[in-house]
Amino acid sequence: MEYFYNRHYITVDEIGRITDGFSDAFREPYDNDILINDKGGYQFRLFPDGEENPVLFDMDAIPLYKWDGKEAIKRSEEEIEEDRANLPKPEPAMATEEVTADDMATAILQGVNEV
Amino acid sequence: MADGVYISQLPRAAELTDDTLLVTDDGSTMSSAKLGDIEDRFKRWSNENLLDNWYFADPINQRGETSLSATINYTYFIDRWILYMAGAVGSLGNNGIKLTAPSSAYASLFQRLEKTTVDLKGKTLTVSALFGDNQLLSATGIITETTSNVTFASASALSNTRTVRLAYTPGNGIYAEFGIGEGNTEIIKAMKLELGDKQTIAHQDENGNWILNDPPPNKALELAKCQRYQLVLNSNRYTWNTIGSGDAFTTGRAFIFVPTPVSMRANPTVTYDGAPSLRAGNTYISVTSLKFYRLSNNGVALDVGSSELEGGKVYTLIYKDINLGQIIFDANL
Repeated sequence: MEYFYNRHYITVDEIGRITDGFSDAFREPYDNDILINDKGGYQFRLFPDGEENPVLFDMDAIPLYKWDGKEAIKRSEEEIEEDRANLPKPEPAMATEEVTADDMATAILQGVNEV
Repeated sequence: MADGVYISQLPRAAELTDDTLLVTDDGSTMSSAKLGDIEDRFKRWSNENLLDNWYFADPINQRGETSLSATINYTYFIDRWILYMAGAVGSLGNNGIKLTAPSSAYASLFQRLEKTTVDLKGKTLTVSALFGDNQLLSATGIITETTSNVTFASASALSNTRTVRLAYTPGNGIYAEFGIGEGNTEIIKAMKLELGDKQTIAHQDENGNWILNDPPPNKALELAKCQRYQLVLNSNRYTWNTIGSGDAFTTGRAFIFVPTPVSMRANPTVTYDGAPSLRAGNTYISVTSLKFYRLSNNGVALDVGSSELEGGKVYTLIYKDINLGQIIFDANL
């Protein structure tokens, strides 16, 4: 059987943050995807001996790695925190409990089972 | 000296009858008939099979494709087994897998091993295959540490119509393979890879036919072994099938935890088809993306893209009743 390799690609955003990584065993690349390894295995690796399919985001969906034009590198804490500070602010929470409690009390007085 | 034929002086089979007394070097004796019984038991001895999903007459097939025409050179077919060569066709039957090679190219079915040449360095291994016509092929070799193409063991029959091989190539790692020559069709019933220099996949009956030593494997055990490498959710494409549940982080993303029956080997690549939905009460919201998020020993967390979600609200990932599909956690080698 011939030599067998898969190609590994990353997708980066406009400021070089890595937003996706995949092996061509699973899908073909788009024009802007970057080939980082043309002698890879079946599963994607960001680094040659690194973990397969590594987690690329933190819990707030902030990218953990960036592409410097030659290789993938970890983003600094400062860069990640800056992204976090720029996350959209959550919508104000609805006063659900208060309303529900009032409604519930009214409902109980009126003998209604469901609010 | 004890009377009888010394075992250390065998073979002198022509002199043996069932009543012949056989003598070991320490002077203990047994009848020839007893030795025949022992020999018969040895013939049926079976070592552990290092291959998963080795019984092709009734294999684990989570993806559910009973026939596959390969369009690219390497395509996963039944669990753990790759169909090699674009144009090759594999199909499941009662007697095994029927493999048909393209008219101008070799084709094979092979399994990559998780162990490396460093792990197995110096070990003697035997690879064997039992065919649909109850004929056997086996080969033995020693693993050497390597990073380039090496065939450790190989045997062919019928003018290379049938080949079994244990080999290494970069990218594949160590693999056990059953191959057929161009334009040929063969049925393969079972394969085995085992430690030692003798095959124990089968023994010959009085007519010279090879009979499997092992009964068909325990399917629950084989399924669990295979699910370490791959898990297909909603494999039967049922309606209203719940995949997992979790909550929304933002209006556009939910984290859904999917319990797995066994711990997966590695972070899987997640693929899906059909149209899964996120359900909350009687509301169904379309899923726009499904990505691997986190692996734990009891499941996989998915990062599910959608819209109009409510942050903090609990959602269930389901296939409803239209455009049913599958989600595959692929941690294959």
